[in-house]
Amino acid sequence: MNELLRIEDLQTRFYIRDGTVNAVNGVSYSINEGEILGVVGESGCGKSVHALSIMRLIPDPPGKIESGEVWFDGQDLLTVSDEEIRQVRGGRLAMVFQDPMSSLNPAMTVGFQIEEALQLHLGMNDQQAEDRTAELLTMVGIPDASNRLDDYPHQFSGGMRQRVMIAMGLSCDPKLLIADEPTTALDVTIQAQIVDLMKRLQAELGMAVMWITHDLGVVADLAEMVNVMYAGYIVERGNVRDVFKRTRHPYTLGLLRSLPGLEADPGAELATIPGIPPDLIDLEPGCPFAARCAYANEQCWTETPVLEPTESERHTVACWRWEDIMRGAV
Amino acid sequence: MPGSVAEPDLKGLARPGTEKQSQAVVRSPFRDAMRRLFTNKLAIVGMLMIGTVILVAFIAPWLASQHPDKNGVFEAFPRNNKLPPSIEHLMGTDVIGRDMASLIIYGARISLLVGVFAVSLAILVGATLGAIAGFAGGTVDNVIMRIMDIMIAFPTILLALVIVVILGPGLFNAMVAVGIVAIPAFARITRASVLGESGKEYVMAARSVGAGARRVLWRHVMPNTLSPIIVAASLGIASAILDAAALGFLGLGAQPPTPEWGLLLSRNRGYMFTSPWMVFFPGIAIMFLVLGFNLLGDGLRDALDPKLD
Amino acid sequence: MRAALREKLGLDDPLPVQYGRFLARIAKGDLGVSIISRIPVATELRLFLPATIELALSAMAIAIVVGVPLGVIAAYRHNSLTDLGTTFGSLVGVSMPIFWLALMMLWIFGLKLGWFPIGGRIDRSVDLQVITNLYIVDSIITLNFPALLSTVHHLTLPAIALATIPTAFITRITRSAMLDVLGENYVRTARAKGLEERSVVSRHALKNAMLPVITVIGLQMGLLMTGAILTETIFAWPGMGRWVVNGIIARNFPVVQAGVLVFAMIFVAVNLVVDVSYGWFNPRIRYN
Repeated sequence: MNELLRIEDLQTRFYIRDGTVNAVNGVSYSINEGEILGVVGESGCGKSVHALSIMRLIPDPPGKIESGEVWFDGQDLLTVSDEEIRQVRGGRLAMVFQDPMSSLNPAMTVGFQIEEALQLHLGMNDQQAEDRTAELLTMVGIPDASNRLDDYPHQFSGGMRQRVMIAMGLSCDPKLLIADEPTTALDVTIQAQIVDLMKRLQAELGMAVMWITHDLGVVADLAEMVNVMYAGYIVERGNVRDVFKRTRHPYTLGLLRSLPGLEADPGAELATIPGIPPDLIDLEPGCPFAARCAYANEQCWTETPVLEPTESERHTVACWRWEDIMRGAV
Repeated sequence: MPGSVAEPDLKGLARPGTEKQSQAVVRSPFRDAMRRLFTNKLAIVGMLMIGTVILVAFIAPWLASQHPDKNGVFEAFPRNNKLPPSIEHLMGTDVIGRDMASLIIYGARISLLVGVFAVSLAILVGATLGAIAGFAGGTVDNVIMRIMDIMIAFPTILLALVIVVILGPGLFNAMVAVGIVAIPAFARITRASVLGESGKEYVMAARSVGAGARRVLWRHVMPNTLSPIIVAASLGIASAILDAAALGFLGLGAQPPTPEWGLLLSRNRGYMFTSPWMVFFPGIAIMFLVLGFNLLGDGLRDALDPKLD
Repeated sequence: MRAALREKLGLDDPLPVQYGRFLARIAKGDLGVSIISRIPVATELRLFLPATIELALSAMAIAIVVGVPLGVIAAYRHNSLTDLGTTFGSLVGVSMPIFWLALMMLWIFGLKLGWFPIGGRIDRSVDLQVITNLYIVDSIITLNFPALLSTVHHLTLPAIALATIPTAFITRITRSAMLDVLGENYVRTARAKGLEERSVVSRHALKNAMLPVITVIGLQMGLLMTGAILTETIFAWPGMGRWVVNGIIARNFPVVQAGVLVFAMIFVAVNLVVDVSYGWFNPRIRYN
């Protein structure tokens, strides 16, 4: 399996009035061709920001991609010229955003917005672009597609709009599709439909997918590999089975335990992780989870853990005490 | 349970040393607004400009070289007429030899007075009308707002002109006219605030914990209503001064010998070609004061209703 | 004598009847006779209104052509020197008394430099066959090039002077609207598609930003009328502003009536145009 995307030590910061926000702190991983990666974590953990950094869509000011390398298809996206990154965006590397109502231009027809990308990246003429757009809309499950090309975004329902966004993302046959919380703004039933759609499309087209979400259930359903992020770090990474069944990081553990299960007592309290995530402004060294971790020791408070392999090579965790915890220490 | 891991004890409380993370600074919105205002460079410039004019108006008797007598008349020195700016007369002299700088210094009092009076009148009447319209609703609301709409439809000068013609020319009538013209803006703002705030959730929340109507009005609705009014007041003073100067220019506002800036401009207009300073300085003075209020108004708007940057 | 006059003028009839008669006369185009000049008001109106329209439209055109791009550039270069300069410049623009600006421009460009004429709509030496009384239109229709040149020459200073304040307003509102739009998610989507910044700003962002801008343009028409009054006075421009002002001062009621009528009609017409164009810029409104 070929490596498609490789990120090395990505760091992104935002400079605002109150200080410096350390949004992404040394993220490194890779995605293979055709792989489905889930990126999971709570709000503010840096999952969206790191994705935007990959595409160089971080607004500067106030944001800045401080350092790191993003190798995609033989190029370091962080150092290529503006023109080259524009070629990649929307073409070989595409992104689907969270809220389709605000992410689609309300003053342009849906057809135009997709045709634009086709003409830009694939050089199609008007007729070709129109035909292909109708095909794409049908592929994502929009009925009577050819008649809906001249409709505006507000004339579609929420789920339909998200399908339109997905069609736009797929339009130029990307090798990697980044989906940033595509179902968060939708009803649960629609959510399931979109996830199924994605599975089907991925199987058909063979592209790699990065699915960013805070919903562990979706990750379990859809993804092969998963990155668990916290405060701008990846704290655990591995294939879905390993991370869910042989969890090694206390945070991941907390997340999994907080999911209400069917066997649980109806009147029982929901398990939560005490405390709140750290303030990302002027973040200090040390494990970001230390304040909420029952196992934190001296080292945890002073040295930032790095991702280390566990029993299986591909399953890595960033915790000084993972072995102790596994053996039942306190 | 996941694998062979023993149950981690996550019931532990936050460790010592994390107080910094969990402390939220309590700030009042008023203090926030003041901080924003005083860090806004343009707003500070505006305040300084206004302050300068107020100071000048205050110390006129000590600052100016010529002074009006008890009838407000400045003594004429025909031999010194139409002198260009010099050390003795920093802004030159006008057609009958009066020191332009002194005229302008005393004129500052008039412009400030006009601005403040007109806007005060407009707020008093406008806010009352707007509040009535907002609270009463229905036909009363409709009637009041239609009248306001009609007033807004006309160019402000025209409306002010008509009012002044009816009342008769003069500085006081001009002030009233300019004030009346500004009423619709304040009526609209107040009505929008009243309507907007009553439906807001925090009002319902306050009432649900037992706050009476008056408490709700004072503690919750008023502060939010005041902000747009304060912004509009500063900008309104700027417009009022311009409008009054225009009336003065047309001869329908202040009458001679009052050294109102617009009037000075019109009286000296005929000599502009040979002695442009007689027209230049009054205009600069108007612009200076108006710009000050506009800068302040803009700064207030940014401070009281910030958009997250 | 007074009683007889009253009866003759129909002033003794009940108000609704008088009003009805008034409307009927207006429908026929009879606006009464000017008390001062004894010329029918409608005739004077036909002379003066086009002059003001020509001036006002020229000024508005300048304001839009200069203001919108300036606002876009300022928003795009947010917080740069260009941006601050534009903001400060437009604030200065709205703080200037227009009669003073007109006088200063007249003095510098008309008198000292002699580049532009200091009064009137056209050189007295140029012949122009007047049809609509819009000199630009007339000179084009009659293919009278010297007249066109002279008209534009005379129009320049007053139009620029009059355009200053609307330009300042339009620049500010365009900048503010563009800043809002440039922060919207769909602009990010456009960039994510790999579009050039130029495309993103001019195609995706601008259309959505125009809505508040055209509202301001509509409102500016009223301000333009105000400014026209003062500008016409200074540039000796034979237009409606000056005519109505003199009418008000002289208590020339038929003239004042006509003036009020015309202003109201212009207001309604402009609002209509603005409402219609809303639909074009924002499809959501169109389909509602």
